[in-house]
Amino acid sequence: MIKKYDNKIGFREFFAIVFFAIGMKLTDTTPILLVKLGLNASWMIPIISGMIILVSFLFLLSLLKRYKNKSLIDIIYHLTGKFFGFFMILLLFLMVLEYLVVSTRDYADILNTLFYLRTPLKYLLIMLIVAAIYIAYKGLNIIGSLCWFTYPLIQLVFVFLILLSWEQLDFNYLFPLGGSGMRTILKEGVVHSSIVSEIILLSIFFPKVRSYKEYRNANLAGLGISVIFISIFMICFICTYGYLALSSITYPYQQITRLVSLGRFAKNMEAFFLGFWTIGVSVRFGAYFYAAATLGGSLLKIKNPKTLLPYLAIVVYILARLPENFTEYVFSVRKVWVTILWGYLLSLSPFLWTVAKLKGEYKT
Amino acid sequence: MPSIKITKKSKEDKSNNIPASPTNAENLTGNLQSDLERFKTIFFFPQNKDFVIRTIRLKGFHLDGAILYLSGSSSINALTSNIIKPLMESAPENKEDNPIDYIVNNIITSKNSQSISKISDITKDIVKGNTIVLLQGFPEALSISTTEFEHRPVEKPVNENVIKGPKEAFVESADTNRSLIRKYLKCESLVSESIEVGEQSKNDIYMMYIKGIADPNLVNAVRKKIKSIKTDFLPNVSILEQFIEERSYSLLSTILYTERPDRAAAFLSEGHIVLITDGSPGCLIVPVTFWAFFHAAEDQYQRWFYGNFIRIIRLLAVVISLLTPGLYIAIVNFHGEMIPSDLAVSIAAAREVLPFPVITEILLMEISFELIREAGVRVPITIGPTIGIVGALILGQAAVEANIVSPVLVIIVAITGLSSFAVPETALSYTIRISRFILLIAGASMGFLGISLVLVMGLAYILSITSFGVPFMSPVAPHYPSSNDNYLRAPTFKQWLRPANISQLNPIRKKSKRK
Repeated sequence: MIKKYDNKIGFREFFAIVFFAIGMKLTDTTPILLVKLGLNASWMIPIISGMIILVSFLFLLSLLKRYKNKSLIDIIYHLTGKFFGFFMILLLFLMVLEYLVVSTRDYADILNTLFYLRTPLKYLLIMLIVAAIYIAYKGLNIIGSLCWFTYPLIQLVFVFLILLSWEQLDFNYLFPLGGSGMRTILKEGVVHSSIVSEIILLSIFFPKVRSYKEYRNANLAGLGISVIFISIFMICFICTYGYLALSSITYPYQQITRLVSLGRFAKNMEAFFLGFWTIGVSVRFGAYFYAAATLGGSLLKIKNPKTLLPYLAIVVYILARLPENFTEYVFSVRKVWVTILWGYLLSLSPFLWTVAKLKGEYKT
Repeated sequence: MPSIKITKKSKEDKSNNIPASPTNAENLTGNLQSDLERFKTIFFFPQNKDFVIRTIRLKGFHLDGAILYLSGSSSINALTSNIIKPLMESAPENKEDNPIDYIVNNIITSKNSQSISKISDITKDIVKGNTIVLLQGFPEALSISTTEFEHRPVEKPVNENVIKGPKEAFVESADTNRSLIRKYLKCESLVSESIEVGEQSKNDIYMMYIKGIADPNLVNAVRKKIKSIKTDFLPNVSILEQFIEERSYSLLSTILYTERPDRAAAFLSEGHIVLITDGSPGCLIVPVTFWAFFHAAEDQYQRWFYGNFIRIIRLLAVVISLLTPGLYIAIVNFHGEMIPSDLAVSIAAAREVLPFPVITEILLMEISFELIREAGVRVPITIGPTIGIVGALILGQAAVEANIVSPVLVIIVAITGLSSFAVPETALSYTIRISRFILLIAGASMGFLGISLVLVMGLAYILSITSFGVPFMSPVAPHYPSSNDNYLRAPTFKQWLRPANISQLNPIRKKSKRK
């Protein structure tokens, strides 16, 4: 039975947060990153990453079940002490910050190159950040509600886009199924598990979720739906362009919205998809900003993470404006980050679990 | 120039100088003459023609007495036939009895009477329309209920019309309104508490709720909120609404005003609280969610398919009236490629001769439309038809022919206006009418991106506000168990769950047939 004013979020809200955090990646440069490695079989990479991360997630679940009402941050501090814990959380924080910087700049670039050619980049960045900060200020409960409220809309739009692009899909592009070879796919799937690593990261909000069961189901469902959608969209991209052309496109999602049409009268629908995409993106950034603020708050021992938000906004804005040639930057920096981080992310929860086991925490 | 300085302290000083108002501890003395003198000073007797003192001789008891009432507040008919006549004619069977008790139990034929002795209570009762009987030698008075204020008869609702369903509305009498609600809810646990508010004018606020369904914490919170109101005059629920709402500067209303007793009863049965006062042809419902503003009574009275159809139409109306001008300007200014080429050509051809940019045009038309709307409400009925002529002819046709606005824009403004009339609740309608301008500016400055960003921030705001602790968009987001009566509704037999965001005391409305 739900308590009325318990200030917590339930299955649906958390599920939607997971979906926005992971699933929305299909609209940025992530698919291109994968296609360059996996070629025409790159749609399998998210599935493999999802399965790999699941193993890590099971360790995490066991930890969360053991330490009721403790978030990932608390568990790290509890198991590894203040000193090591600080660095581990710092790494997490930097990860989120880096991702925020890269994606805000990424999305601002998309807007700048495809839709608002004459608007200076800085204004687009400011607009995105202001909207996200406003949402983040409302706190996790409102972010959860917002995600759940807009989830059906975004989901419908995604399905709508798939249906619209159906006529131009050429499924022959998928073959040979193996692509660059099963070994490569498997390897890249493991290495790129950071694209679905949000389910590990989001466990910093575990105490905010009503029950362990709801948390587990929300994560599994959110991960499943997100991975399925990323894969389906990658199939769509591959089947529309062919992997060779695709790897030279920067923004496949936006490009595909330019290709589709609804009959003779609605030939150009990209602005329609832009509207919904903006909603999804700002909600997602809101969640990310809040996560970054929570991590940063725990590093600086600040009780209310919201006080960090304005500073974070400024930092993200400055860092996002630094790179000159962003497209190159995204691919190079993200490649480096992704390869460094996958090990950390995948091993974090098994490591913590082993420490707990060695310490004998599971015995009582 | 003399200056007038008003401070809080000077008000207190002034109130001390008024001799008339009785203190709380003051009691009747038992001496008829001195008590009467006291009431004369309280009610400013010789000047105040409405205050009546009628002396009376109770033959049977061998006592002198006086009857006090305010004419206009009490029923003269009840006074003469239920009080004066029986008092003068009857005699006690047993002389040792206390005459006051004897009169209450055996003589007065009025529906309600009691004995009181505090002068402040007596004053209050007289103001409320009760009749007071004072007897020589007794420090107690009889307060007999004879309240009767004039009000109109029960009429049809003016704002919340239905095709199928009850067609009676609240009137400006709290008694009638409560009786109307009780007609729909024949339930022994329906409680109506009365709370007195106002320092000068003492008005009763009736708080109705169903014990066992309404959340007791909520009831306490509302009661506390009403009791904390500091005002000297609270004439009706419209003012009460502004006193108890949580966000006075917000664009959104979090309290529902309805004039339909059937709707009030339906809300009561879900655990809401209804507030009623004299002087309002309507009641307040707290707490409410967005869906209460979006729904109309008709949705439930029409069959499932028809009810949902009109709900979809109304959802469309909300979206259209909120977004159309903003979307139009965004498409024309930023996303011209979205318009099919044939239409684009015709729009461009129409715009060729126009001197103004689109935003000027659209603001001009929107403001004119709002003017027509406001004028239509304020205009005296006899010259009402002029509005139609001015609106349709001058603003529509003449503006187009004079090349001030494009014909497409007239269609846009017309469909926006039409949709905003389909929004059932005036509070929501105001919200939409005002937010439309915000979205218009967003669309004019940043196209779809601006509209989306404003929308998502607005949505975050709406989701964050609460009405007496209940999230405004619940039970959808955050999700609560309910009968899913939000965008659409389930068939009546499937609505067996009370919404858990309002109250969780008694969640099952009736047993479900299917397990």
